[in-house]
Amino acid sequence: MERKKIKINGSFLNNNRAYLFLLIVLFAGIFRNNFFTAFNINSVTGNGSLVMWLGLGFTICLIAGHMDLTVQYVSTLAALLCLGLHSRQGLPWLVCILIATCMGVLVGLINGFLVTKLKIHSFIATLGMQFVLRGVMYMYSPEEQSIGRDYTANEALNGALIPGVPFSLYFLITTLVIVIVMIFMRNTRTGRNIYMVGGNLETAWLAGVKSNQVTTVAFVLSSSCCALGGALNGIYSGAANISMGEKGIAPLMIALTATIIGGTDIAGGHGSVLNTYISLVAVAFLRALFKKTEMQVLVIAIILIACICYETIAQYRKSKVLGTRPNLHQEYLKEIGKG
Amino acid sequence: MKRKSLAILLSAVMVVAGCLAGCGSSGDDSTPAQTQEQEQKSEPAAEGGDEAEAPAEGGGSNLDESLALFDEAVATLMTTDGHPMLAPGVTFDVPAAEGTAEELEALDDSDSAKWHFYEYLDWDESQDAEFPASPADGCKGKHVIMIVHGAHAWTTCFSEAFEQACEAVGMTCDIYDPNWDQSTQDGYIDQAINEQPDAIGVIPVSADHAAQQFKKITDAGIPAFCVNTTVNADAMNYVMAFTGPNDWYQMRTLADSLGEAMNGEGGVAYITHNVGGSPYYARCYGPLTELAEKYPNIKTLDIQSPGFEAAAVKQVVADWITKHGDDLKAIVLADDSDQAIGTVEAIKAANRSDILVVAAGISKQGAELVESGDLYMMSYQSCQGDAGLAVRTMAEYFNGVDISRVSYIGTDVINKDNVADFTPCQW
Repeated sequence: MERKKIKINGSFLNNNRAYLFLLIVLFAGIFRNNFFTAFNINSVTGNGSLVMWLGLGFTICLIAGHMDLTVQYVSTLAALLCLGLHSRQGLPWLVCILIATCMGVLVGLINGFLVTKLKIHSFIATLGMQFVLRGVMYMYSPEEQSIGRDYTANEALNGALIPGVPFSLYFLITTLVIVIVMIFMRNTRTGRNIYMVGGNLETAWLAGVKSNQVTTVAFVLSSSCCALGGALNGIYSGAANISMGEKGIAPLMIALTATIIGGTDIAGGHGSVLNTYISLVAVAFLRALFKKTEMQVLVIAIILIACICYETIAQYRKSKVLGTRPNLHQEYLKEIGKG
Repeated sequence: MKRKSLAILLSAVMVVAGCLAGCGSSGDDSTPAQTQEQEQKSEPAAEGGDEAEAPAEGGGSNLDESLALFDEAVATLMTTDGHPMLAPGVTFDVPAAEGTAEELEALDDSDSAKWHFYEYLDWDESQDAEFPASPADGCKGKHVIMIVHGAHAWTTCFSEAFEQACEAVGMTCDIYDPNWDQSTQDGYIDQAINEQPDAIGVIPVSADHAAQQFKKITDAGIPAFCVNTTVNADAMNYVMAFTGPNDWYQMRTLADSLGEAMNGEGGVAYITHNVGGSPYYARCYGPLTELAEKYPNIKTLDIQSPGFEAAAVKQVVADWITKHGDDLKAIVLADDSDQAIGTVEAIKAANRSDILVVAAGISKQGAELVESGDLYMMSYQSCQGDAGLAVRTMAEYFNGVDISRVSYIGTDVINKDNVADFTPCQW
């Protein structure tokens, strides 16, 4: 059996940039005091889990060729709902989480309907939905905040599930769901159809894929994941407010950045949930490296710009080769290791 | 060839990581000397005779040296407007609540009894967490972390004063700024605990969420100090000490003067602070309840929360002038800078110089507006004094002095006649 040769070149680095990013950040952590303590790893991964859910939702939709700008607001509303239902109506946590997730499913269905049936561009449809969700949040929680007074649930999600392993239960649940979604995307027909619809709608149609149905599934999956993550985050942090993330670094922006760093194609059809997850873990640790918010923003922005620049240049080179001599493209692919 | 690529890749990773680590460390404001001092401090303090407690030149221990530094700082450190920065705090007895929190919540907003648990830090002391005992080995060489609420001119002034006061009493500090974001502040609290400082001070972004934050710090065995912003009663069970302004008292005092100037007649509208924080309640419902009780003919016309952008505030005030006409006699503002600028612009545009504007102060813009007569009055709340009282309380704790669980900075009402006594402004 022939062993696959790994060639370390620009293409290899680009394909694995999420892992490289994580490696660099973890390596930089060696120079920081108390960076690799169990407490720090637990809190960094726990606090970074919310954006992992958002990144998950955003990546699914981007693979399907659409933008879902509601991810942050769905998660915030879910957190408000979950904490509110528990503290105001006294419902058990599981019921609260379930209701919040159902809300996410509903939002996904509406987004899917707007995009597939009314043919509104996903950017516009989800932008509009953002405002609807904000309105609902203000109506539900005029004082802008819901508080979970139950320290038991809060401590359970903050605590380590396995003694000696420095990860909170919340982070482990997040990782588990991401692995499940990754398997779904790779190994199920619907998952692969999401890639096909995002890559080339016409080909998908010719192949008999019900693109509207698949697109709706992508939106529902995205919103329900974000809602579940938001509800869990509400319990994990013990609070949720409408302006969450708006004045610091917006979680939506981090999710978007990590999705692009993870290599998901902005045009759709290509990407990996796992790569987004790795990027988000790297971003979480990167933020812990810096004490100042402005430095966090600056470094994340520089990395995003670098990735986008690389993508744009690569796209330009590809188009140039394709436009001049199509047969050269095959040679080009071979040269960069994709042939 | 492959080895060469791998070597280049690893070198590149190390260079970039080194740069990142370097940038990350740049946030640490400790000088090498301070770091050395910190390392010395982390040696067992109680044993005495080690290098960390090396006798001072005069022969005293670290505690004696700390006490001398403290006394000198209290006597010499002044705010930019000429008041002592490390002045002792003001304390008073809390009146009894007229019911349980649930019962009071059902009262009308204009009833001051409703706000008892917002106004006073009236908590059940029997539920207090076990606080770490004072090391009583002196404040000199101690390292504290201050987590502020967010970027603002006030915060910059506070942070600088905090650093100045810490240096004066021989302490070192790091200041984290979460930029008004709740979840970022939560992250910083974890980061601060991970750094294992001698104390952590927090200006909570949200009064409601503070209990979780202070519980986490206290559970980690680090003394937690709540600064500037009051918190809910249950949070006080995890707070070693609260220091800050008595927002309710100063806004009530301001409202008394306003009611008198209005001759007990007319309508008042309110622009609030950020919803959810303690200044939101104190700076809106403090004057509202005071006016309702002492001047029953003064009506509340509206309460709005447009934020801190002058343009947004101007629009709200312009709408009020259109809607309420001559009924609008006064406006109470939670902020004397951008909110005051927006309000004054709207009043001038409508040519309604009869509307009295009062605000919580004191910023440079506010002082200028008082001098020009555009702002009728404002409260005096010393930003540097706020930082100074926090440092004083922390230093007293390290020095083994009994500290009050709640202490407030002094206040005053500023008008055109006495504004010179409070300038140049602190921020």
